Amino acid sequence: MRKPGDRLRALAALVSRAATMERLIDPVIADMQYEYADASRRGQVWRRAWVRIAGALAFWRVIGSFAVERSLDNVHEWAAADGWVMGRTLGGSTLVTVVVTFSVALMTLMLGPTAQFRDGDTVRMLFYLVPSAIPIALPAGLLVGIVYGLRRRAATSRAQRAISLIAVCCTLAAFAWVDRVVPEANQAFRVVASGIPSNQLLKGANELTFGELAQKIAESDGSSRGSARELSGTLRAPAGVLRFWYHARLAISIAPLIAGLFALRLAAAGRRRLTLVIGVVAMTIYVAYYIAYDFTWLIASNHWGPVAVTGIAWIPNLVFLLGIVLLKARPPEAATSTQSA
Amino acid sequence: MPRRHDRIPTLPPKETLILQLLVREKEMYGLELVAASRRRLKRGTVYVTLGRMEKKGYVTSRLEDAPPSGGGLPRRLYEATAFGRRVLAAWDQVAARLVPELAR
Repeated sequence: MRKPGDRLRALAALVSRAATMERLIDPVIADMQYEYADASRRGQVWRRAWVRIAGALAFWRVIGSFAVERSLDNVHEWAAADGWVMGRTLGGSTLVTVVVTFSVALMTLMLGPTAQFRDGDTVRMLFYLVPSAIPIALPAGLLVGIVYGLRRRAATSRAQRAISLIAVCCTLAAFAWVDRVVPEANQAFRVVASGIPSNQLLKGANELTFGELAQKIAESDGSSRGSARELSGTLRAPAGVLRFWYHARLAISIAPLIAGLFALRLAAAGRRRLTLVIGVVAMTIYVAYYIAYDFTWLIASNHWGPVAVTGIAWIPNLVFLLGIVLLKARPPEAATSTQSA
Repeated sequence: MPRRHDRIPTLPPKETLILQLLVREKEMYGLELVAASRRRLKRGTVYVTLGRMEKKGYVTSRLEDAPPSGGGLPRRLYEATAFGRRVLAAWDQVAARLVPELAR
């Protein structure tokens, strides 16, 4: 005859190791069965029902608590492996990403036409600039974080795989973020800055999703005549400017992966102090490239063609790719210590 | 198997309470600990805490000798180890020095 908790125990046995069953699951089930038998002996029908419910709740709480504790242990072990390579990489990347995000947002606010802005909205404008700054800061954070994380450490194949996977995840997240969140934030920023309600404000080139930008480029090229309806509620912009925004946002989305691979190559190249210096310099140039120049004005005034515009958008990634190729061609440094000094 | 002690042992409040109860009574079941704690320990988390303490080497456990009369699974009895007692004593001393009001 089945006793209370037998089904739960069988369920847990499917996914738990013997030690977990012995130390966590079995004691909970044993308590439930002991209390149930005791209530049955005394003829306490209501208590028997309560023991079943309380026992089942205790069982699921044990499973939940153990899962959380185990996950935290696994994360800790993962971060601590290979001399804390992953912990240092993630910590360094996060710190640099946060610092660069707020620096970029602040610089954009200060370099922009602040005279037009109403004083009371500065904090809100800064808040709406942060989403645009994150995708720019992410590759910079990864670049410095990886070089710092692998400094004085051996880049084991496990660490390299984990770092590459993180870079891929960052790229996918950046793509979704740039497509969905950044356009909304950019328009919210312009609403606050101009004081015009959003329903009266036409969308600018940097306030469109990838799909909307592609449609606008097709409209501007005149190639969509008869095949696509004209996108309403958007500002007219030169095809070059639209193409630049389209490619710049694509390039920024892919940048975490390329910067991550570049940083892995750089860290493996040896010369520990020099690699960190190169990483920081590369990060600074990369960030400066995207915030220091008004490419929109440059492209609109020079009427550059599609190849030049696309090239401008992809230059940082192309430079990183060139760096990867050059570092790959370079012979690895002979002595690489695996431990910190 | 107790973990190798490569760092200063820590004693969070729930572990302190369990050690205090186990030092007072020699051996206790999980449910007895829950009942004796006056609701400060929960039946859903006490075994996770006890498992962690066993890994740290603060407590040891064994299955009860005679199977329960109802024919269910044998229950597990917990006992404080000598190391657990030492950690508790040291913890109490430190607490008493730092915050005399907390001294038992």
